[in-house]
Amino acid sequence: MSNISVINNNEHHLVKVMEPKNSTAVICKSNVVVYPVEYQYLTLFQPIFFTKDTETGQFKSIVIYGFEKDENLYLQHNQLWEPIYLPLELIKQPFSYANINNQTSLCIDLDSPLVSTDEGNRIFDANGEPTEALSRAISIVNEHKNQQALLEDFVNVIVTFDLLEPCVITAENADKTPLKVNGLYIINRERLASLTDQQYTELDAKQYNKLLKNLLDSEQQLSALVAKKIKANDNVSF
Amino acid sequence: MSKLCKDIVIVGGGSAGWITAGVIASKHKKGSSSHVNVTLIESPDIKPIGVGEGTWPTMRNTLRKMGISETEFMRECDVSFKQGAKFAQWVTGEKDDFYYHPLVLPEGFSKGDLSQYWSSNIHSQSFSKSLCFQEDICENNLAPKAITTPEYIAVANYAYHLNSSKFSAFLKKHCIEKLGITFVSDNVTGVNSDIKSHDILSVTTENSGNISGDLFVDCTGFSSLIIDKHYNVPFIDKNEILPIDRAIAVQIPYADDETNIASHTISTAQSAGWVWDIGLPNRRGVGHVYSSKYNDEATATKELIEYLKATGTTDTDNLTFRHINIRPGHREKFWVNNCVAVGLSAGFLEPLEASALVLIELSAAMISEQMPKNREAMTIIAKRFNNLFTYRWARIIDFLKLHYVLSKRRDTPFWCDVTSADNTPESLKELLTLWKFQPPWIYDFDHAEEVFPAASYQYVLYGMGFETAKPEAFSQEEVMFAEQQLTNNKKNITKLIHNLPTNRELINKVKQYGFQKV
Repeated sequence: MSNISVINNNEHHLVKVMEPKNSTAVICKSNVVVYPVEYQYLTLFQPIFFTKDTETGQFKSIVIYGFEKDENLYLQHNQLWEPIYLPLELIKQPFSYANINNQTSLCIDLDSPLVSTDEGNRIFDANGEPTEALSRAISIVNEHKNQQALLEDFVNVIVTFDLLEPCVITAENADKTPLKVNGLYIINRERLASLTDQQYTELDAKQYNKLLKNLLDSEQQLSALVAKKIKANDNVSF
Repeated sequence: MSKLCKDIVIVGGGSAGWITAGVIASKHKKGSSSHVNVTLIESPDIKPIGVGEGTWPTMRNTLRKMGISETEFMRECDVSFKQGAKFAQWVTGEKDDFYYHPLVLPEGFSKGDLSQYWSSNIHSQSFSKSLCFQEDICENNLAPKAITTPEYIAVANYAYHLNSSKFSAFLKKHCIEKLGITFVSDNVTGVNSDIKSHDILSVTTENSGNISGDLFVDCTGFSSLIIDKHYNVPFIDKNEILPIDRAIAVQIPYADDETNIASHTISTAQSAGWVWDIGLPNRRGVGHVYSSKYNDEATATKELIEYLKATGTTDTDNLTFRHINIRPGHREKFWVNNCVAVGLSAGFLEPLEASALVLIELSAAMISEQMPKNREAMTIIAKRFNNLFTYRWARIIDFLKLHYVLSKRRDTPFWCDVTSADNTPESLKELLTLWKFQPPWIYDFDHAEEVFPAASYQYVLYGMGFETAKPEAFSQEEVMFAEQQLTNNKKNITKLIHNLPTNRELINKVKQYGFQKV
């Protein structure tokens, strides 16, 4: 659960915050929401898909780390992970923006495993002034907010152009049990090739064509992830 | 050379006119090899009846084919989900007397009959509850799908409840803006036909002159402007079989924004008829249909008010009751010369199984799919249309009558008479005799595309306590098959009750976010 509180140097002057990459609780995820600015990095290492938000049915892009709940196949057996790229959605933790009384305020989740008074970096110094850690957090949360808006617009455009199609991942585990993953969507290549000139121009103008290329390229990373999964099950079954 | 059939003129709007127009125009688009022109003439003075609020699951496909977004349809026509009907007090009249006719087939129905196993081995639980997960979904006021399910796709098969006036207006806008239908807002004052062939050449309008066409569709509602007033096609009265001939309709607000919206039609039997109760997103539509032979307007209104009070309405003094006369029956023929009647002009039956809109869809589909190429072909298609729809009306009448004849109620003269074999069609009597020895199955009916499938007959028969002879024993294989289906049903119930949102939650989410196309 979470306990969101508006940050102030009175209540939070002793609060320390750990870096997300050092917390298993934060990175033990089978997928994480990713934003347009990140596609270009992710596409080299991990597959990006779209999925529907269970509460709203709206599409969001995600990077896949595993196929079952909280399964991160990139984590080693010693639960260590030196990710090549850690998504914004994880880096921004435990900070967020909230709209309170029509005012956007920087908040912290006091129940986050990253927050304590004895481990990590302080967010206020002895004089109650924001530390560099807090300044960094603010710029990350700002970027996150901008990217949320950009993702929403990007999704709007590709949904209007009917560019998404469902895809089912099927494979066979080493123990012969079937591996089947539903609820994922990818860019429909045929549909993309048949867009009108006017639609292409619109994609170009917003530089969304580059994002689409990143998404298509990232599909190549799926086979490596499935291989990890099969290997992981193999270990279990022996 | 026989005259080509290129210009279709639909006389009358309403649900019938606009559905027919939309179905034809979306299939025979400009540029397609079978292109026809569609003109619809709607009177600016006559308002549609606007009561029919229940559809069948077929409506999903009808709307999809017209290129309509389910989200827009739901937002603009006050639409909620419908997952079948609950019939209360139809069998014994006791308070706890009810059965379901859900829209999902019994578990494993495509692989084999389970009614025999159910009747021999399971006494404690109703047929629909044992073999269909939808009853539990309905009893918990849950929706048939989630916000992540694509538009028109079902987790549990579903139809709609809707505001029919808004539905007509919505279809009209779509037909004019998206499907290129020529719209004429005018009153039709005359019908001009060829002296020799009696085919209609044109209809005369008040301000737009004569509008000529090759095929005319009579969607003029109860006034039946062409099929009755021009061609004098006889009306076959079915009052003897289905004596209901009056309706009192009322709109009931919800107590608050949190009140559950039922995702099924609730039909509660009364002393000489029954009350329908339909939950739309913003209000309930409730009505009492009764037989004037057994009940007067004042008593019928009193019974309706008692129902409203019993279902939570405290203020019944400021309600507006609409009174509608119903004449149960249909035309002897629906397609004469170059005119076909669709909707109320073709006929009407009490809305016990929401047959009005589905008959419009079926008529529109056949006209559109079988669109005659020329006048010569039209004669043959008209004959086939008449045969098929005479058959369909007869099956609907049988199916509606089934709900009455199986009742054990004898508490009023109405129930004594409607349950009597004297006014039961021979076709239904024959089936009921057959079903004493074997359960309803697909071979019992003539057509591949039946209005009511064998499963529907099973739900009503066994829901109402009908007894089919039980077999002496079941093979090991049969037992295993049946037990597997019963287990599957239980699993489905547990899973769906846990995962599905409430009907109201999903309707609100559709308003806020909408369904995705994929």
